[in-house]
Amino acid sequence: MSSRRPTTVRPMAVAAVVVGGLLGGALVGCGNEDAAQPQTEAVADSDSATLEYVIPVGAGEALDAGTPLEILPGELEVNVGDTIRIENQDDRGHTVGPFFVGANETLTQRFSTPGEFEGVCTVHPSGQLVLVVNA
Amino acid sequence: MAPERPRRLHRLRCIVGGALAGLGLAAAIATPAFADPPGPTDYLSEVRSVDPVTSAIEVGIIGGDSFFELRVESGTEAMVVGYQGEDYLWFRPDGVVLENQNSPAKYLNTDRYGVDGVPPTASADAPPSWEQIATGGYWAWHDHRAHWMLDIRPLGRSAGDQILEAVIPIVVDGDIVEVTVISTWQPEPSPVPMVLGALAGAGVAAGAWWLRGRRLSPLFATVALVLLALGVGLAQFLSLPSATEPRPVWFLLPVIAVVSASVGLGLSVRGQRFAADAALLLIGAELAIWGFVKRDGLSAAIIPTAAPYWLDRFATTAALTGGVLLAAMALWWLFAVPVSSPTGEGHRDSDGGVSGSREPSGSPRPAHP
Repeated sequence: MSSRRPTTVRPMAVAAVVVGGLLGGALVGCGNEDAAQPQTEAVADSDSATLEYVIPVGAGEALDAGTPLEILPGELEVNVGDTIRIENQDDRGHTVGPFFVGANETLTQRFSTPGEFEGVCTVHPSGQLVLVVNA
Repeated sequence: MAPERPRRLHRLRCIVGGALAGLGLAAAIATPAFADPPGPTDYLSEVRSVDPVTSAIEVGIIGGDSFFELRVESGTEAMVVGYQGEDYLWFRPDGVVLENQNSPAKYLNTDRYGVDGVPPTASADAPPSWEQIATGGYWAWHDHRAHWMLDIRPLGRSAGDQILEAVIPIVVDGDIVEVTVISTWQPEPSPVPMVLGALAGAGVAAGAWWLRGRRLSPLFATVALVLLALGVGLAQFLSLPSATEPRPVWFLLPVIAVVSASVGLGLSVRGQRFAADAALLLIGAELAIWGFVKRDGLSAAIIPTAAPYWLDRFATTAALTGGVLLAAMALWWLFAVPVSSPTGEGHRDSDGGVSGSREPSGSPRPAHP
């Protein structure tokens, strides 16, 4: 009997390792979107900001008419610790790069981790968005 | 015994060839098509308002946030305005839907994230070039005003927050109608269905192992799992309109598994265990591939399906776990146990079956139940 035991244990062990690896890979592979992206943290609106942008009144109507909305530059390079403030004076919420700012809302965020991101932005004249947060 | 060897090698080649052909078919249909059907997402988009209210059009969101759909009442003309104010989609009163081949939106909307480039011939200033894409006054497309466009999370926001607000202008019988869409970041799903599914998949494999050890066909243990995968896959495929080009792989892989199980059980009844093991290999592979194809739904808040999300996640991990274990066991029984059965009770004969230790080699075997 002892000579047969490895023949039954071994395939199950190998299969268990394979299953574990597959499940782990599947879960990690679809769940680590946040790992490489730069992170921010909320800052009080009263604090001073390194970068300040304003979404003007009527920006939404301009977008509806097909006019690209250029609030952020197509390429934005900042350092960890820098603060960005976006004031939305419009009566409609707007997506500005990786930020969403509600109607008549001010969003103030500090870049807390380094990272780099490049994506498509259909409302920007360049059609592209590059965000680099240096350490 | 010498004449048996070529015969067995021939059977082996046939079975392995059949299994490889089945796997090849599975790989072919598992390959993503050119279209970008709705996929799992963490964001829920909703139509907040239609201003002015009109009964001439119906709008909605498909797949959480993936597709924007528009149905125009017969006799009504509608023009969807593109990102740069150009004419993009033309819904004629007779129900024919045409797409402006010179609209940049046509190319940007090919993909969920708009990664396809816009050719130089397409611009807002170019004269429209219309091409029919549908009839019946209905179409659905990736409108990037209706979903979060970046594959990173919205910075400064968290689950539960609104992360988008946009207007899709549609000219209905000459009047502008503004469709306002908002999107909300949804909380992560509970891991409980996934864990239970993995346990259930392991249970199916354990059941197959147990049945085999008692000289019963292990395929009986797979029936519930392949039917579950088929039901979940069909629910997902049938819940999405054809305009979104849902992936046939969602139900075709389980169909192959069901056919394999049926054929394999028939072969088991006739005592051809070696062929039945090959069927088990195919079933395991199809289930594992199916689970792998659907893995994104495990961590996303929303799955584009009519089935309950917990059931979809349960079936996905059950298929992934059970499929890999079943395939591994089948491979072991097919190729690594030429002499001893897994229980050590007998020897594989020229048909690939297992004869009892008290039976002389080559003697007739009782058929499998």
